[in-house]
Amino acid sequence: MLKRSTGEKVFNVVNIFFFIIFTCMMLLPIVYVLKQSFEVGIGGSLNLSLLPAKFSGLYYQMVVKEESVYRPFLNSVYITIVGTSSSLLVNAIGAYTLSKRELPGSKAFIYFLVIFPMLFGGGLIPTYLLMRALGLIDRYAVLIIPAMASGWNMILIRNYYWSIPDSLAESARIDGAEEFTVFFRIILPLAKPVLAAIALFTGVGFWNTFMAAIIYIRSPQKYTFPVKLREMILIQATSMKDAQMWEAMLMAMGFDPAQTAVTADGLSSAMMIVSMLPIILIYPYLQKHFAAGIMVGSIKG
Amino acid sequence: MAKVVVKNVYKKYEPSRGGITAVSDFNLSIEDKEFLVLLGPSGCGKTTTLRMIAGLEDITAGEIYIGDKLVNDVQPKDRDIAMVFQNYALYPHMTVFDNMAFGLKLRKTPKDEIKKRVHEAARVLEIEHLLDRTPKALSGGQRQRVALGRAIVREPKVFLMDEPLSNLDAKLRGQMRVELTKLHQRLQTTIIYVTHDQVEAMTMGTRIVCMRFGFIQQVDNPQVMYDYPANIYVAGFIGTPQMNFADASIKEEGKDAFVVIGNSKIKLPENRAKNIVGKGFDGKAVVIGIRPEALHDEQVYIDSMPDSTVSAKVEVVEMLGPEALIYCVIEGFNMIARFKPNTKARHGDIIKVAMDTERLHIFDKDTEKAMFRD
Repeated sequence: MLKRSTGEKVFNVVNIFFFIIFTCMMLLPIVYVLKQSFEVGIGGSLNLSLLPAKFSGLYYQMVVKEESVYRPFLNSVYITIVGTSSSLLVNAIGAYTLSKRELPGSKAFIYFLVIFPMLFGGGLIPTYLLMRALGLIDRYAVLIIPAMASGWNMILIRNYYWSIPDSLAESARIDGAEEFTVFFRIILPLAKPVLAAIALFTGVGFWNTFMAAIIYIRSPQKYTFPVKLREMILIQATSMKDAQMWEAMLMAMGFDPAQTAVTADGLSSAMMIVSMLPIILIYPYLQKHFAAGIMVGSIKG
Repeated sequence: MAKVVVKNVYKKYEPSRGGITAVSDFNLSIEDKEFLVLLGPSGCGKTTTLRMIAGLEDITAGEIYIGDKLVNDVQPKDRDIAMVFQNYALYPHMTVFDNMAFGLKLRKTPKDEIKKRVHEAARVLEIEHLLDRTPKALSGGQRQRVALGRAIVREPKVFLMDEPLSNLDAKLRGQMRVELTKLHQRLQTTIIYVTHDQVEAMTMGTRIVCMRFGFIQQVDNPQVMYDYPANIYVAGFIGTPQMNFADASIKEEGKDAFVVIGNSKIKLPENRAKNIVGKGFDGKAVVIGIRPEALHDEQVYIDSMPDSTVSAKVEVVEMLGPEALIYCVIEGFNMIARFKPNTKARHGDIIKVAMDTERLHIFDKDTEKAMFRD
């Protein structure tokens, strides 16, 4: 056992203490929301305990049963899956093209079509006008297509391609592979670590689609989950209009607003938990691909 | 199995900006079933030449034929060649079997045929037990065999090998050298092999192409190249320890010809003198080259070669077991002599050394080319 100096010991203690507090700051709100999502019947009074006073899965049943709640969830699932996979494909193929140093004009392409738009955009209104001119307003495509190609991701993937030895592709070419085969059978499988990382980032991006949906989507049945969540959170018991809306919703779900102790807070808590779940579930699975070392063994020993 | 003909091939990088010429006027006919070695230091154009034959580099000018077909504009996959890379270039995400089968699958070979060929090649290379592993789980030597196996299963017309042994340790390299030679005998295919290691070139090649700065220096079989190097560069590149060189001049006296090194006059044998005497070489500055094993310290040599015995000051003696390397100074020139291990030469001694004048090389000092080659 190494002897540690007093300074090191103090540093360690302070470190541990600091991070415990920091972790609590991150975790407590989540635990509180989790509690709220399982608690029914407190009705308005503030309860700061982290354990529900009365345990119930009622809010989750509401999430699953109420179409105005689960429909946005499915919408988000849809644009996340379609958006992430098409975005990965577009960026991976684009990056492969840009990774060819001998490609004429590739530098100009990178400067003007990749790096420049990373720093400057047209602004909200011109972009809106463009989307309208393209006829994309109030369609799922408006949430996917503009977010599909990303200069930043393309450059990340391209840099990873550069780390793959040329001799692998050359070897495949001599083995009889066309350029498409080289890309899909050799390059793409080897780029798994970077693709997994980028899939996670883009996936989270699509899952959290909010601004674009607020701006371009009008029909409530096309809302994304974050938009619906915001609507629920904004329901104020004090506002007459909101209260009427909430009552209407409860009645539609078969509750008697006068008798149940169901709150909008509880429902939005359950929705927040549901919105966190997919990412939390997928992350460990993708994370294992981040581990470097997939290239080990391909070249010299 | 095919002949490969390379005609007036040039490779220039960035010709638009003046550029670097990697290969200049390369002319060579590689016979069917030949084991041809491209030998030279790094940057001499040997790998570029190989890659041009493979179709991985465009050629700037000239023609390449594989079989009777002009392949200048033929894709690598359609040239019917297989290549083994210096870094093996195994596909890390595939098993050994899939690595070897990849080329066959792309060529739509029937499944049972693929299986048969892969197992056959694996058996020859003794890697059958590794077929289910990924390259990650293999040692350097095993990866090397897989890379060879991947080339063999394709049964190509020509094998191209780019320094395939340079990543192996010395012992394994020795073993693989022998195995490659055996493999060549067994497959009876044309092999073009690039290396900077003259031992590999000497031991494996049926012919060696010695290159420098993109130019062919000499093409010959290994023994001829060793015994009759075409110029100082080849003489120095082939052989370890390398050939000893000394500045000298030619002197004629009647019917006899001598080379004069410092104060020593070495008489050339009659058969060589007749090529020199009376042809205007008297006084010409030359460089003489003599291999370490053409220097002798045994009395029997000194007695039989009184006209070519010089004195040498011994600086270092390296006892290697089967032989002794003597680092000495002869007429101001540092030389290495390879003596029998029972030599009495010790550090600081002045000894007599007999030069075998039959094996004395004479090079033109200006052109560096061998003179009086018979």
